[in-house]
Amino acid sequence: MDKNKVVLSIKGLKKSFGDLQVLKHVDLDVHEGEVISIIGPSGTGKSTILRCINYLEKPTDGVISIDGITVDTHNKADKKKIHDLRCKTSMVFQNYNLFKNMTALQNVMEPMVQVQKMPKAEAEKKAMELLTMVGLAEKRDAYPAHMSGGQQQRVSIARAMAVNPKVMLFDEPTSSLDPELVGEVLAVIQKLAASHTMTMLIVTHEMRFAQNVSDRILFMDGGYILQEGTPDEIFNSDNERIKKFTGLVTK
Amino acid sequence: MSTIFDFQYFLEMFGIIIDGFWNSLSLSLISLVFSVILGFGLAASRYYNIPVLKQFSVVFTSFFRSTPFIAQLFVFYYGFAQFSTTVRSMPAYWAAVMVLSVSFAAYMGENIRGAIMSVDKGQFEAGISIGLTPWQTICRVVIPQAARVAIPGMVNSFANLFKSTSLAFTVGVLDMTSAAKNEVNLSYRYLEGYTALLIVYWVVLAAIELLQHYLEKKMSKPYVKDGGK
Ligand SMILES: Nc1ncnc2c1ncn2[C@@H]1O[C@H](COP(=O)(O)OP(=O)(O)OP(=O)(O)O)[C@@H](O)[C@H]1O
Ligand SMILES: [Mg+2]
Repeated sequence: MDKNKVVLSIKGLKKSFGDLQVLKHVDLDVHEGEVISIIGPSGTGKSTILRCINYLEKPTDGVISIDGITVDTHNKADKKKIHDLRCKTSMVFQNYNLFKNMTALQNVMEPMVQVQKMPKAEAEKKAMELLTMVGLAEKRDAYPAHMSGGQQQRVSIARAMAVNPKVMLFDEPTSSLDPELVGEVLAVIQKLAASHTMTMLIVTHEMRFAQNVSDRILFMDGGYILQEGTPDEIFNSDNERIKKFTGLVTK
Repeated sequence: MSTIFDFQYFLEMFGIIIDGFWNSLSLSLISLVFSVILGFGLAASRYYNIPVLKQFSVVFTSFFRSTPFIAQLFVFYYGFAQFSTTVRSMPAYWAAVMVLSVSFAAYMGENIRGAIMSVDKGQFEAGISIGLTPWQTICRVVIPQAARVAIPGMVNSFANLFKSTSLAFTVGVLDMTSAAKNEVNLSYRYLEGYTALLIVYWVVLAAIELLQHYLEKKMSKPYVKDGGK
């Protein structure tokens, strides 16, 4: 783990949907082991940044590099490179998106067996370790429909770790959860963040959580990173937009 | 001709119908396989918006769903035969397979397309986000989930396909309808003969319906709340 090593670099990222310019210009360097939260008003492109990083959305312009893999929108779309990029990242979705036709264990084994071609027995052992880590070893044979939202999200975090990614992307991991289930999911993410072994980008509306876990917070507005800094810098910002936003949501 | 319903003869009819039964069954099963394969192609070209193929698929589906099967069969077997030596020399059995396959592909394609559309887009995104290729994701995540949704519609289409094989006798295929017809044309015992025929169709399709319920129940277990422990 090298704190000075840039593991993810975004240069000149732009994204439009038709006439709607969602990301106007984003530059970002993320260091190994760094935990970054992205906050800001709704519709300002927070999810879009994450989705461009793993090419769920193809950026309109810009260069994304992760751990030696560089994909430039100006070079002809290279399927192999995009695939490599996706193998270096994993994503935790707002509505979990666990594979509904697979049990918890099968979900977690999937990236190891199908992508990394790990032998089944070994993958099962590792998957059980990950399920234990998120506190759901006993749910190994349960299908997503038979688990609560909080449990599904914890399994999906285990699946995202099974990818063995360089960067984990979290897109509002607790926004679809009933309030009483938010805590268990945040606790898992917090534990992971505290270990500082994983580089994490977390889009969230949970301000106290962002304040506690982040090394750095980005405030997004209008397709730009309006300000970035330590939690203290953001939560004591002089910027009126940011003051208003953090004041409103932390109240 | 004294009794209204000769029960003895009615029972004997089943033995005669069996002669054509295997043709009816094989005709429908072979056509089922081809229509599902073609249906996949039609569904995929629409779902993935493949230019030209997509428009073709729309017109194809509309045409075959809006015209009677028997007229399609006649146009192909009698109409095309007027200029195509291939059609002229084609056995009636295989001509029927061709028209059944193409015609029912239109229905199968719609079943498959609807089922694929019912799978949440997030499932596909999750697949590629963990490093599966799009193709792997389709095979391992999307199709298994779509299959469950597609089954009732596909069984329904198969029931119609199976019943439509009875029209193959019009071009001279020896199916169970023609076996019954040839027999009663000699005996004049229409009521016994055709009642026995209806019962055979009914039994086959009732069995398939039972199979469908069993499959549906089994396949929906992972998806319904009270199916868990
Ligand atoms: N596939 C799409 N097609 C068209 N417009 C889109 C698409 N995805 C996102 N947008 C638009 O882009 C803008 C930014 O969306 P994005 O989801 O990145 O916002 P966000 O900051 O994550 O907001 P929220 O906090 O509500 O999740 C929104 O106006 C949204 O409507
Ligand atoms: Mg969002």
